[in-house]
Amino acid sequence: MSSAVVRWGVRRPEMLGLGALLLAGGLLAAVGTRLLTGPLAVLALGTVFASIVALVVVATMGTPETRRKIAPYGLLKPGMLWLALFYLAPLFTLLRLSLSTLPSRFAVEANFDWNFDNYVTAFTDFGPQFQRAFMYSGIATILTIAIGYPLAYVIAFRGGKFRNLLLGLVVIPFFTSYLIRTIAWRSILSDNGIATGMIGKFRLTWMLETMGMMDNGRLINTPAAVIFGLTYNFLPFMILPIYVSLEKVDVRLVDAAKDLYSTSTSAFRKVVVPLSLPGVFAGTLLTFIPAAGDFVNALYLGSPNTTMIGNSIQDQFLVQNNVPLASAMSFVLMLIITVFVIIYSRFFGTEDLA
Amino acid sequence: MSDVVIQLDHVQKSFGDFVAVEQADFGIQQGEFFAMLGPSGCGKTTTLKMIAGFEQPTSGKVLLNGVDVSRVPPYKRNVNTVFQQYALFPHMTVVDNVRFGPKSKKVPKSEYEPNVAQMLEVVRLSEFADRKPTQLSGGQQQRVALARALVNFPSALLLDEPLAALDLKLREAMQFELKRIQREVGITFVFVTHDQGEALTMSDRIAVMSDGRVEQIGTPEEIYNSPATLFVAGFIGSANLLPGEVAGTDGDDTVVTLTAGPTVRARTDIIRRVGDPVSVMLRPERLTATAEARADGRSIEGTVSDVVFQGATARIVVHLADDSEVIASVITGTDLPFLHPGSSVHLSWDPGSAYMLAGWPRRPGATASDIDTLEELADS
Amino acid sequence: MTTRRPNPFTGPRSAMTRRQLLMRAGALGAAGMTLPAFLAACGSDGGSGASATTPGTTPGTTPGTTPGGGGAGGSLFFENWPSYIDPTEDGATGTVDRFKEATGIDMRYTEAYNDNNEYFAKIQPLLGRGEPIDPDIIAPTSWLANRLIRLEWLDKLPLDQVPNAANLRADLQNPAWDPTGEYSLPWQTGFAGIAYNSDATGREITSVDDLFDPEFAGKVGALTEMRDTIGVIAMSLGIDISTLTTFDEAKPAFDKLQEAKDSGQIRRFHGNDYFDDLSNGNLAITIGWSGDVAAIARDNPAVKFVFPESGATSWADTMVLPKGAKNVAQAAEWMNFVYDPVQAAQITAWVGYVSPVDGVQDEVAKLDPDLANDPLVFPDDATLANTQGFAPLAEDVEAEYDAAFSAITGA
Repeated sequence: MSSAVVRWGVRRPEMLGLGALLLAGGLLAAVGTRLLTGPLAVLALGTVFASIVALVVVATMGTPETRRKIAPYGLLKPGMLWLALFYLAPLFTLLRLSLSTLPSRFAVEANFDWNFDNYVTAFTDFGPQFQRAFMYSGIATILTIAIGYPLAYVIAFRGGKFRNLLLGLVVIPFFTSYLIRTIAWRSILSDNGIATGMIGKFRLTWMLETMGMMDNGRLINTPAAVIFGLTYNFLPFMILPIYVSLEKVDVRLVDAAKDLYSTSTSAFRKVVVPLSLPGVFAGTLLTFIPAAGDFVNALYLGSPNTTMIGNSIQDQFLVQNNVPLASAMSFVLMLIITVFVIIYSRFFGTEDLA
Repeated sequence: MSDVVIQLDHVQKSFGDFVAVEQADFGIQQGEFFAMLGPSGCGKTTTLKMIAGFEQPTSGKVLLNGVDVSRVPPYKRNVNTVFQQYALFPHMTVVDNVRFGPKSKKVPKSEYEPNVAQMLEVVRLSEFADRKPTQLSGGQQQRVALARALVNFPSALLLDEPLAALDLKLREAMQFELKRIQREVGITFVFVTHDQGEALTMSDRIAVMSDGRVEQIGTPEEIYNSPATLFVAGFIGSANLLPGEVAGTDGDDTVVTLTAGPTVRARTDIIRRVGDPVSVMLRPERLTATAEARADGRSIEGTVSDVVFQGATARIVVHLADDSEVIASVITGTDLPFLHPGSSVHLSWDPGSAYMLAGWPRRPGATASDIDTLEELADS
Repeated sequence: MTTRRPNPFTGPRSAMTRRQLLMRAGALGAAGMTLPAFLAACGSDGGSGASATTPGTTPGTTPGTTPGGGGAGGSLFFENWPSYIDPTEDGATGTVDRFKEATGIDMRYTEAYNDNNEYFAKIQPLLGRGEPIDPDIIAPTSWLANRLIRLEWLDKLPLDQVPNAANLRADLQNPAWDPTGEYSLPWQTGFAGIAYNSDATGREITSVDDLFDPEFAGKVGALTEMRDTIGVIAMSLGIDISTLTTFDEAKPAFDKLQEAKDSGQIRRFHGNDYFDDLSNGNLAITIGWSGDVAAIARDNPAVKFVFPESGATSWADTMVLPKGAKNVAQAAEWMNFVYDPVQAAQITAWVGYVSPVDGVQDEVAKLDPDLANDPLVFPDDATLANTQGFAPLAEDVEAEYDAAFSAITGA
């Protein structure tokens, strides 16, 4: 029997490789989601192991041609198994949980019963938090582009020998914990802090108040503070990809555009901007997605009226112990973000860039 | 031919203490194929950039159709450049690249579209209009760059080493292609190159530059046959430069006593007095090898030190009495039994083939680069 | 997400040290919600500071043998809140080291207990399936202890082996959260009342109503600990929080809080991270914990704690045995050790909370007479009479409370 498999495998190595890959991935995902438990799980893991061994056997017995055909599947295997166990399985578990009901508040296991109420609740009870999450992270993303793009531009085109130093300075805040940085901003933005003092000194308070940035002369615990915190914390994630794409732009293209009757401004607009869009695209994803799910900034720089969906999910998980609802909320957040990314990549897709 | 499109009026360009271009003062005619030739760092690209507007002269003026444009930015000058690596916009299709100039100039679409189509026709890329530059070969990219510039019907087209990025075969094909296109559109081409062969093949006139100075401007024939300076003589083609002293005149020719011994007659455009140090230039292909001397002062004697067979011709290296080496390119096929290393030989030439220049070369005989090339050929 | 930060304050300790501890505790509390690992690392680091040092040999601070002690050996693992016990430092031997020396028990003491809800989430998957967890003793706050008792996730204490349990303060015997008194012994207790900065308020504060004074709009805080915030407000409305059984009974307090939040009266809800805000005047007035405020007051005399006229809430952090704890005898030895007033006084002198052990005041008087007279550490009977513990809530009622409170805090 096994020799028959081996003989067939030697004849059609690529099919064997693909089959073993799918089998192993599926089994591992099943074990990860606890669809298979106990002896069955052991059996499944044994099969995964056996499929790997079988591949190795076929590969070593086979001709160089066989080995060449099997190799890609062998190389894909670690990544695929990793995905199956640590991405697909948790995702599936989360989906299942989000459709479950807890028999009692502190029960460990939720009963899977296609409970769509969790989704209804997620949509109806947390509207303001969802809105704030996307509004704050959206504004913060736009601000990071506004601040990060010129910075990346200067580093890439005018940085000269200081380029690496400047890039280092951009990354330096990462050496401190995200939380500590955020908490540190509290004293800077506090009522008697530096920022408020400066604004008062230059008599800008009324202006910021009119813009809704300040509230009774306060910066901290306002939406502006939360947006500011998000902007500050995610700025490097915008600068670095933009820098990378700008750095690849050939400055002679700007000369070429000027030679072809473009002013510096329109050369920038028509040549540099389009060529750096992949960086802006990547930076936007790296900023917007985590910022939309962030809860740290709203927690430390915000007020009860500025909480974001991340705070609500965290509260449902840790305080309310309502894991199914928290899962449903996470899923809704994920779905909205996915839709956003699809629409966004339609408009700013990178497929036609060299 | 008398319309001057570009006039450089005592143009000087310095970067700090370094003088990149020194007193460039010449004009380029309407419809001309004009080459600026010189080794790298000679100032030819800087000169081109000053014409394009990417650099501004430290002193002097650049005139375009009689108007001083020295301080006018590139986008307001009616010249266009084909950049060394073409600098095509990678995010645009071929046709969008070509449209870029007219669109920036705000030419109405109805006006430029026929021109765009026509230019793509001229460079034979109509069927590639919707490709991205990266999907094209080097030669095709080159032609896109040409079309992109020419579609603006500039007063002059500036080409910065346009063929340098191509391989040898493509380069030769593109030389003819460029000539053809230039004839077809009738626009002035100003062309920067370090390749003298390219310059000689394509240009109507050549400006040879060295160390920021224009050494000579003239037709390829003038520059080849009557180089103004030792540098030009050595840089254009192969040359044997033999030092000597003016001994007198004989009709139109000057009589020169060579350091290597013999007294020879040479044609010249310069006025020298007896005793002045001069060099006599002998092109290798103008020399013939004979067993006996010619009595009329048109031969020198030496010893063959090397023979490189090249098919129709053979290059021989001849050792003269003063230890300098001379290269001669001789026709093979005739029985030249004495042409083997160690044998004595007389190199002779026709009247008018020897040309006299002022000054002594740094190294007498064949230029070093010619010797090197020869050795490479011998190896291959 | 609350971290009840025990307060390290005693006379001889320098302000700088105290300050550092405050900062660290704040950072730990903050990190606790997202980075349990980071936290645990810091926590155990602190723990090793308290336990790993070689036991000192100062006979004066090492009291005689305690009942039940005497080289029994074995091991013990206690997971407690950060900065909640006197460490071995400055020539003084910490309680953990004194215990190890006195009993020969190999004790592991960590400070990874940062937050009741977070810790509950951590142990739920194990205890919920009937699997044991590593620590032999953990330190849930009374309401969580009550929840664990109801869930039957605790073992009864071997009180017969803890003779010193007789020293338990009378008002803490058979408490509401543990009616039979069989499952928990308090570790430290304290109060939630009003904390304020008199520079920022411009006047002395006596009443909960001051929290809702429009004069302080936008400069008012409250604790994220539902029982303390709702408790203090409910008491001011004349509600007896020790007898609550339904949500409706406490609803007026929720309504009042909701109104204050909607009007912008309340600037933020905070855990233990309000010291800076209170000290620099970002918050003029808030609901805070007694021990914390006393510590800040040493740096900034304008910061004060007051028992409101309407009364303060009282709370207790407890020692309990999670179900299946292995080292029960050793746990009993430990509890017996720290219920010895001599030992308990050492802890009180360092942490500054209200000790659950009778007789500590006399022992503290020998160490630090000022502290022995501090009404926040040794409140008089009248003050104690004006405090209430929050009634234990049935599971579904508690869920209602939690949900209503979260809705107000904005989560």
